[in-house]
Amino acid sequence: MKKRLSLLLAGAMLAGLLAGCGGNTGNVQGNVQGNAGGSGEEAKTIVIAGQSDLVTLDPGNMYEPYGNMVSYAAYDMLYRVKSGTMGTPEPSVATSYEVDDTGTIYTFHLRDDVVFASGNPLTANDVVWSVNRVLNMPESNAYTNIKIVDHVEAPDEYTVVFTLTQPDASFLVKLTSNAYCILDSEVVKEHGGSDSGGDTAKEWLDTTSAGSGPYIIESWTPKEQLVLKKNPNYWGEASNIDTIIFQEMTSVDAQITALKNGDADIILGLNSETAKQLDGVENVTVTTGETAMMTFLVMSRDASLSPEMSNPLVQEAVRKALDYEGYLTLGGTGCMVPLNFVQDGFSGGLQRDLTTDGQDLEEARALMAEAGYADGFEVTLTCANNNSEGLEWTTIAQKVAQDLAEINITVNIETLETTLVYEQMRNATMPFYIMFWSPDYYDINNQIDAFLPGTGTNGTAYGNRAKWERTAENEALWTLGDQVKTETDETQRAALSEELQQLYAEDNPFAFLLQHPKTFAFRSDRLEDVTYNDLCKIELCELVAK
Amino acid sequence: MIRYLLRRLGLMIVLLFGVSILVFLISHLVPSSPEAANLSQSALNDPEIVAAYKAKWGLDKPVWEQYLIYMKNILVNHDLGTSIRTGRPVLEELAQYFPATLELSIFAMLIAIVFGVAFGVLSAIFQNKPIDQILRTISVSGVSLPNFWFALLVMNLLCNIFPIFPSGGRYNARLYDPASAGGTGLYVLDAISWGNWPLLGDVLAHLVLPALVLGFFTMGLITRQTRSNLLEAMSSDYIRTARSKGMKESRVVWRHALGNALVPVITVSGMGFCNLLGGMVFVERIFSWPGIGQYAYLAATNLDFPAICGVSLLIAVVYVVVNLFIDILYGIIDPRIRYQ
Repeated sequence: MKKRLSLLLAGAMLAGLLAGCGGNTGNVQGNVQGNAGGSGEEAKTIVIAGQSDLVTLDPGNMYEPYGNMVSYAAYDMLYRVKSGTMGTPEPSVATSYEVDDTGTIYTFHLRDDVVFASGNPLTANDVVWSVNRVLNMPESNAYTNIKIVDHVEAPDEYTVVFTLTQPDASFLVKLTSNAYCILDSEVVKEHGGSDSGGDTAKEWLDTTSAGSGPYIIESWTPKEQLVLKKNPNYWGEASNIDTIIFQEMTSVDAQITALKNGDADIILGLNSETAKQLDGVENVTVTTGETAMMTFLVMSRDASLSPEMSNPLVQEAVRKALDYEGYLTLGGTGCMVPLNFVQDGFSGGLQRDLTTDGQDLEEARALMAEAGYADGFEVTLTCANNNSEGLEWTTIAQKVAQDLAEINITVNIETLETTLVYEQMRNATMPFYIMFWSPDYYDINNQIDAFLPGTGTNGTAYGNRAKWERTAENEALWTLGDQVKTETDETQRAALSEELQQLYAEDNPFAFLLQHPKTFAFRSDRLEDVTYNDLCKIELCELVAK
Repeated sequence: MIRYLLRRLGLMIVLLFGVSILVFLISHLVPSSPEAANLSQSALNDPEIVAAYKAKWGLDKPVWEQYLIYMKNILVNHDLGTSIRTGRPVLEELAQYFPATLELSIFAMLIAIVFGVAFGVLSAIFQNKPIDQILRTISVSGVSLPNFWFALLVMNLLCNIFPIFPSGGRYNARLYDPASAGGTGLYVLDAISWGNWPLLGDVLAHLVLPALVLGFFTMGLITRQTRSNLLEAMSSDYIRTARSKGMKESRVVWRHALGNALVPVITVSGMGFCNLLGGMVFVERIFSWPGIGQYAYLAATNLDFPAICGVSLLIAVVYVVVNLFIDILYGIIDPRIRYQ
């Protein structure tokens, strides 16, 4: 009897464990067979495999690298990034705009034929509501791009007026980011949306979309897959692809195998090394796109951390000692060496001329001697357990150590978890470290606000992190920077930008190593050419199935 | 028996309470912060955003107060909190990720037990013969090969060079969408209950390699344990007696020797099941398996305190339940064991 009871109990426990994991079995079995059982129309379904790190689909909360890939497919903005460019804005829902003489009041005129997926017409009120929603979410990453807006109004159904807190030449570019996605206010309000604080619509927006883009978010299972279906009410030119599936694949090897086998049509996790595995594979095209991601060395100006490394002469010597050609080889096809903090593709972005301004060990040694360190010194290079577009930072650190040994600097590499490095970076406690940077919006203004000197509450991100103070000696950088930030004539702005970068090159606490490419591959037997832009990665709306 | 179970359940509550304190304290001792791990570089330099972020997640309160709020939520609202990284309820996320891990663990254990016992018996019967040498080599490999290395090896061999199995995920996304269809999240069970046999085949094909890699270590343990126990049992007096009475050798082995030899194997299986959870992180990442291992990894690397605590409590419950299950099974197999 006891034996039977024991058996019963053991069975019940196991059954409980099994049942405990399936909380939502109640009402779904009726539609399961229809949804799960049938195969899709293969020619119209595209599978993209990659590691997205998506944590939300709510445009007001997202900032993850692949967030805009989804928001660009499901939502519209007033302006969007022109296909294949690095952040060049072009009209989308807006047809035109005017800016007043103060440079702070922008008036946008909207199309009158745009409808949401729900069938509701898109009006100026939806724009105002969507902007105010994010303006009332100061804890969100998306808030960074929208806080320039003081207030926004809709004088009529198809006109929107933005008043900015200060003139901003990059405002149109900011408008292309997910923070400015236009939501169907009527629908979102029904699900907890609010434009005056206390918004609770995120949970609902994580399961679906409320936009007017060419696709609708059909379903999302985090770390598993995201399914986009064609929006039947799309106001623009419809794509010939009915379903786009983003399948999460953490392993690059798994992605490559899936592409070879035809289980995936596009894979995103490649780098120059892993891409070699696809050399000569039939019907597979490997290609690269330009990104704004940079990897660089930070050399703190805080003498208490390292009196040697904080010396501006030593920092210049480090820049002269680096073998930039070697880093280009490490980075692979499509890599560039920016002159300093402005990427190629941004207004006036300059690259380092490696024939005249490349590695110069003689000059580097002379600078070391001038600084009083001809015999060298020892320093710790902190390196997170991270990578830039697949290039491991530990690999970069080893190359840096090798280069600096040439000028008698002994580099001890310290590898830490990424979050630990971020915290130390924020507290400015590392004398010498590797870091990367991707802009929040694709304009030089973002670079200026991050990389010019300045410490304290109003300091820049890397002014604070490198303890690079704003002084009378470097004030000229800000004089030029402020002009660039407000100059609306692009030719003039590019000239000012170039001047700023040349001046910046004379003294700064960084060594900019690489601007990385994005390497990806696709099935050329299933897709026409695949366009990449760094803001929204693969331009889903422009995919054409064969 | 009932008293024994109640006592074990009481101990489980104490254990979970201890785990919650330890995990909470340890995760707060890490020299980093959730805002550094989760905010963008620009946002991290903006005091307004950082302050709003800390206030939203209660990070501006002392650790003890954060813990009390956390415990109050669990005890009063039965809520494990909201993930700092994703903004979703931790309980909901665990319910999403756990079925994938449970399904993988069950299949890994099935492979480990079926092949482990079979190999152990064969190895003992053919002691010191070539088949024994081969099986011993396999079992030693199982317990000594790092699972991430073995995973890459089988993936390259069986997905790439000989494309027999799919390389990652739980199903072919082009053909099926069981994730959005609901169900239990145990896709094998779901496919059977829906009568969707092509989906069942697809799901099983995706399960084979990760389950094999995950179960390989436990299979090695079970093979070695079965072999040595069986050899010991075969030299016992009662086996000699059975043989002297003219009993068939197969009946001696399967009926008399193996029954006794399997009792310690159950302990090893229980330990093996718990070991699977440790290997989960690597295997799930390599095979893109959306389970608790990946969730735990992301929670830890983003200092997502509620998620770290939630996943730790879940794993602690699994450990306790599995061990209790093994203890009860012991009593069924060996009547000499009594619950006190």
